[in-house]
Amino acid sequence: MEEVLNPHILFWLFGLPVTKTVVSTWIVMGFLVLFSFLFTRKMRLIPTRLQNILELFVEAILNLIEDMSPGNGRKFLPLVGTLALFIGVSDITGLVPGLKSPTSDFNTTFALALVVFFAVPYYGIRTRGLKNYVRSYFSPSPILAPFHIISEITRTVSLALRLFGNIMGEETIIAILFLLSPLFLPLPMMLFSIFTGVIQAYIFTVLTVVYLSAAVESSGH
Amino acid sequence: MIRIDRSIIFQIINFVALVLLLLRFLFKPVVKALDARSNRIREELEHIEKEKQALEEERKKLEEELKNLKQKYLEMLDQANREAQRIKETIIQEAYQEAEKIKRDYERRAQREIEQVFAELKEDIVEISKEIVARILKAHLTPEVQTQIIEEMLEEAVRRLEAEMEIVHER
Amino acid sequence: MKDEERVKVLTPLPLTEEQKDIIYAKLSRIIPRPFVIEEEIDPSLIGGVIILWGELLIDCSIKTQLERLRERILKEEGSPYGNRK
Repeated sequence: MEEVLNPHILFWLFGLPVTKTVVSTWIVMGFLVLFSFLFTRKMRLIPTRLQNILELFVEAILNLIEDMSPGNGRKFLPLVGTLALFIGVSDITGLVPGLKSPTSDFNTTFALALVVFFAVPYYGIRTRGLKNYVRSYFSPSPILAPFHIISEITRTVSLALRLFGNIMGEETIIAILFLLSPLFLPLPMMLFSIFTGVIQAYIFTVLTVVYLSAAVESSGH
Repeated sequence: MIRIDRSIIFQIINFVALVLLLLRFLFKPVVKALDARSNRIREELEHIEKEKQALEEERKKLEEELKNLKQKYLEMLDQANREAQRIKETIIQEAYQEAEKIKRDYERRAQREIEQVFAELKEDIVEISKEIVARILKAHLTPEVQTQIIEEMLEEAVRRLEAEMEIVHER
Repeated sequence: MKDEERVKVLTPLPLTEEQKDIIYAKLSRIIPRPFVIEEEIDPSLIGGVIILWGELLIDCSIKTQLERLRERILKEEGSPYGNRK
C-alpha cells in the first residue's frame, strides 16, 4: 500500500531521485515523441489513416480552445494538447503490467498543476502586457487581490489533487481487486479505468483552457 | 500519506521537455499540414471560382457575339429584302417602259401603215376621179366648149405673159 | 415667108377658123412678128390647147388642169379619218 502512494526511489540522477514514476513518465514521453515523429515525418496533403487520427486529435483540441477562447487556439495548442495527450496516455499506462501510471503520483499531477499555474500569468502578460495583467488582480476592487491569488493557488492544488486522487484511487482499487481475485474482478474495473482516465484528462484540459482564457481576456469584458 | 519529494522537479522538467518535443514533432507539422490543406482547398476554390468567372466571361462574350451576328444577319436580310424590292420595282418599271415603248412603236407603225394605206387609197381615188372627169369632159367636148376654153384660158395666160413682159421692159 | 415664126398648137379637136382667129389675135399681143399656126391633133389633152413657140410654152389644156387639181388634192394633208398620232 505504501508503495502505491509513494514509489520508492530507483536511483539518483544529478542529485535528484529517480522514482518508478519518473521512469514511467520517460516511457510515456518516449512513446509519444516516437509516435509523433513517425507519423509526422512524412506529412501528406491527402492524409493516411494514422495521420488522419493525429490531425483529428489536433483539430479537436483547437476547436475545444476556440470554443472557449476564440482566437487563441494556436497559442494554447502546445500546452493544452500536450496536457491532454500526456494525461490521457499516462492514465492508461497504469494498466500495463510493471508500469506505474505517472498521474497516480502526486508529484506528477502537482508538477502539471504548477506548470499551468505559471502558464496562466505567462500567457496573460504576453497577451495583455504586464500592466494590464496585474491590474486584473485589482478588479473590480483592490480588496479582492488577495482573494484572486488565493483562488489561483487553491485551484492549482485542486487541479493536482483531483487528477491524482482519481487515478490513484483507480489503481488502488485495481490492486486490491487483484489481491482478491487475480483475473475476473479487476478486468471490468480496468476497462472502467480507461474511461475514467480519459474523462480526467478531459477535465484537466478543459479547466486549463478556462484558466488560460480568463487570463488573456481583458477584465471587465 | 501524500508526499512531495524532489522528483517533482524531474516531473516539471519532463513535462516542459515533452511540451517542447511535441511542439516540434507533433503540433507544428500537423498545424502546418492543416494550414497547407486549407490553403490548398482555398486556392483550388479560388482557382475554380476564377475558372468559373472566365467561363462566364467567355459565355457572355459568345452571347454578345451571337447577338451581334443575329443583328447583322437581320440587317443583311433586311437590306437584301430592300434590294430585292428595289430590283423588282426597277424590273417592273423597266418592263412597263419597255412594254410602253413596244406599244408606242407598234402604234406608230400601225399609224404609219394606216396613213400609207390611206395615202395610197387617196391617190387611187384621185386618179380614178381624174380619169372619170377626163372621160366625161372628153365625151362632152364640143367645138363650142373648146372655143370657150381657148377664149378664157388663153386670155388669162396671155395676160400673165404681157404682165411679165412689161416688167422686163421697165427694167 | 421663110422668116415667118412658127407656132405649134396642140389640140384634141381640129381647130375651127373662129378658134384659129381667136388664137391668132391673142398670140399677136405677145408675138411682135407675123407667124403661122401649125396645128397638131392630140386627143389626150381632153380640152383646151397647148401653144409651143420656140422656148415658150403656154399650157391651156384640161389635161394639165386636171393634173394640177390631182396634185393639189394629193398634197393636202390628212385623210378623211383625220390624223392619228
